[in-house]
Amino acid sequence: MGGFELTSGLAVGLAFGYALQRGRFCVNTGFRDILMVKDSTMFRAWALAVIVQMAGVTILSGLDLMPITVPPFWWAANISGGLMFGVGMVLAGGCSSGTCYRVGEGMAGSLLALVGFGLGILLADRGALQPLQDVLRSNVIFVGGEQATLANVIGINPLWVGLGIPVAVGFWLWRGGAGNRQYASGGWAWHISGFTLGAIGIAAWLSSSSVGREFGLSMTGPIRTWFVLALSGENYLDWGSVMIAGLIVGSFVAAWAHKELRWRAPRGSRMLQAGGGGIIMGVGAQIAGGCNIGHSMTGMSVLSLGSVVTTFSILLGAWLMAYILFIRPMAAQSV
Amino acid sequence: MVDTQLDMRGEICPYPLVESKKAVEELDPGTTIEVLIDYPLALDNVTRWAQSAGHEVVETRDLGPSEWALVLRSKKK
Repeated sequence: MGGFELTSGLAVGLAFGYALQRGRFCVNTGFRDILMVKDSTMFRAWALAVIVQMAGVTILSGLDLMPITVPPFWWAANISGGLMFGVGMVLAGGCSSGTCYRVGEGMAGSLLALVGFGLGILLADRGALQPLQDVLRSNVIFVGGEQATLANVIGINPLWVGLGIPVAVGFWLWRGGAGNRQYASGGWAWHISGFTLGAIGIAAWLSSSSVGREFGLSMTGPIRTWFVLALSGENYLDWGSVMIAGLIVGSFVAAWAHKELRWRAPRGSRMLQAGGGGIIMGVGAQIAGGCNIGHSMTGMSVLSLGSVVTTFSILLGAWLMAYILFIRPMAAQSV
Repeated sequence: MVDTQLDMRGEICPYPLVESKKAVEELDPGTTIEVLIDYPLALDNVTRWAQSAGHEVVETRDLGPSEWALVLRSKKK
């Protein structure tokens, strides 16, 4: 790995981790709370991060300033992997990025979820579940010989879709207003974290593409490289691996600088739930070819149909598990 | 002086919110509960839920690094 690859990956990771921690950014919370407590604050942060990155990547690739890779549309893998990831993240108490930044804050449950996530990835990538992954990924749908995107499926210029969606969603966010900008814990308001994370997403594309990795932020592949290195000694470390390490350090620095760094652990049964949820998340993310970052932010920015389908599947999986675990018991109690 | 206390320290998402909601809804109207939280996002979303549900946020006390006591008063019927 070259010096520039190392420093640019690390710089993006540090900024990413810092922003995740200050924004308390968690897609699990965003997806779950719109159903559970009708609170869309975190969902809006995610939506803003997606459209900022989508607009930026559309412009940069439209001007031929940056090569892009579109994640494939292997529909069976996108749907089943996304559902599993959604179920797993509710059990684990955080999505993949949420889990990583909380490790930097000192949360033991998230550390166990991260270990589970890595093992789940390996289980599907090269373990007992690899045949399942191969079957689910065997049917890839192309459009006109290219990876399926929202633009080529409809048959229009990607500029219209890649700028039209941000304008429409941006209008919806703007109409809703910023809401209360003072959060009890002193973190960033949703629109600050959404915009910052979207901008970091664009920086990640530029930085990563400049060293030949034609993709933006992702979690599943980079986390896999560390677990492969630790368990088998094979060294596939790249820009993404350094970015993940930077993320955890960035979150650690943010928590330390704001006096939020503290070792915390839930009771034993909850630790087991976090670890088990992490494994399910890892298997799902590996099968789908990405998670709430690789698909639901980066893949969405290049209009990948596979990423859109995975994102909806994650949402459905999260809602299903939130209903079983929290909503139904709460409703039964209040009767 | 609070009427009851709920210790949610160490808990990850969304247990602080779920348990706080349950505890506040079981309170007699107008009585108070102190929720101990050590997870920033949980402090934010429990506070936001309480305000939107019409309960009063009496105070948020800083207890040290990433540790807060959130005092809520259940809404009067």
